[in-house]
Amino acid sequence: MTEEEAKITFWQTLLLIIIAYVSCVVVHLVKLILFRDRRDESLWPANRRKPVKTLIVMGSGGHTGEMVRLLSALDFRHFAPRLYLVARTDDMSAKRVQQLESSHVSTADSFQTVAISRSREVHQSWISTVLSFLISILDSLRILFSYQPDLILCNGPGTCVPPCVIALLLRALFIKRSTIVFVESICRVTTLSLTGKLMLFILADRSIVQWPELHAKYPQTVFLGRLV
Amino acid sequence: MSVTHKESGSKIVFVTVGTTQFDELITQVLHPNTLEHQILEDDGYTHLVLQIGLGVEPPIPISRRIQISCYHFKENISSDMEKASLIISHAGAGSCLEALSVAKPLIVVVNQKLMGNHQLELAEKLHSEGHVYMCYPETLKTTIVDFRTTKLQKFPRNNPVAFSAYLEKLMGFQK
Repeated sequence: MTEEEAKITFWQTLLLIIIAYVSCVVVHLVKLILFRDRRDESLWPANRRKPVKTLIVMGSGGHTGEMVRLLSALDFRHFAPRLYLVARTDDMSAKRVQQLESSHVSTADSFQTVAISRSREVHQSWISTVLSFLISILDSLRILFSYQPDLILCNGPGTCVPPCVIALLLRALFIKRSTIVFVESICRVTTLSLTGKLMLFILADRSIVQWPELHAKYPQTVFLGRLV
Repeated sequence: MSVTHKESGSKIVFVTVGTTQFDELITQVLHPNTLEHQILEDDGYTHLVLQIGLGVEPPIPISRRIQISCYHFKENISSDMEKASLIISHAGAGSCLEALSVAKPLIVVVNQKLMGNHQLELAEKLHSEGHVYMCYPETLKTTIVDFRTTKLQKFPRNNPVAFSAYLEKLMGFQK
């Protein structure tokens, strides 16, 4: 083979590999969105020994309050380290995280809080919302690419969408598999929030609701009773 | 559980709007019709505590028998809730659930100015199951009257252990 022919073959091979990879990613993404496994009790191998690397999104206001209540019975030794995503302008949630973590004395050093841009402020205009959403996506990319959690916990509102979008993409790209669990607010008795619908139909592995009426309306959700 | 110590003979109404602004509610509570003719005279309340969140500080009327105080925020309002005999709250889930968990009579007031008003769903559900009274700022006075005569259903405890157990199983931890 001449040097010319060898070069062409190298580029052809590279192209083939890239095409193969992209095809796998597309198929994987389609499978994740359209054929998500919703019935298995466990999504990971049994008899787990290693703790679960966890990312928790603090949505602000009432959502933070609900998340703190959700985490109140969690065994922090099994779910460590914990990275809390808090909106940049949300001091109250950062404080609540501190309070929650300091009430678990033995595991106090295995958590971190990281600020993320809000996807949207209240009353924000349409155009600037698109911009801030894109900034949140970039923020999420930076955070998730370096942290790579096993588990993502979120309960709305919009702040949790960019991190979950990125997590789904990283999973489709075969870079990191994160399990996304979304818990709809206790406020939602008969209707799912917009974030809830996004989670249920596209982004989350499990969507938990807290009223039987809502579970009956969306049978793919999980109902465990009132959690908060 | 923190210790609840009441000053002897004090009966407290606690009003909370959480992290929001709800001036309509505060105005209605401080209206002479509510203070004098509804709350004060017949029910023997001695103190009125207002947690006003982002709201504007209201002019405090001078009342002969009720001591009125107000503040914007507190780290933890559960002690104020525990000392109260009646809680009047905006329809935010956090405030409602906190009030229900200290088992105090609760009047939930819905803010019609809020867009979409998804707070209404929870308030209506809690109201239809008899756990709370529900009203709007305009109907607060009549609701306080109703409150005296009707009984509320006890609210069942929440179960965060179910969430924890679910996650453990999901992530592969064996029981």
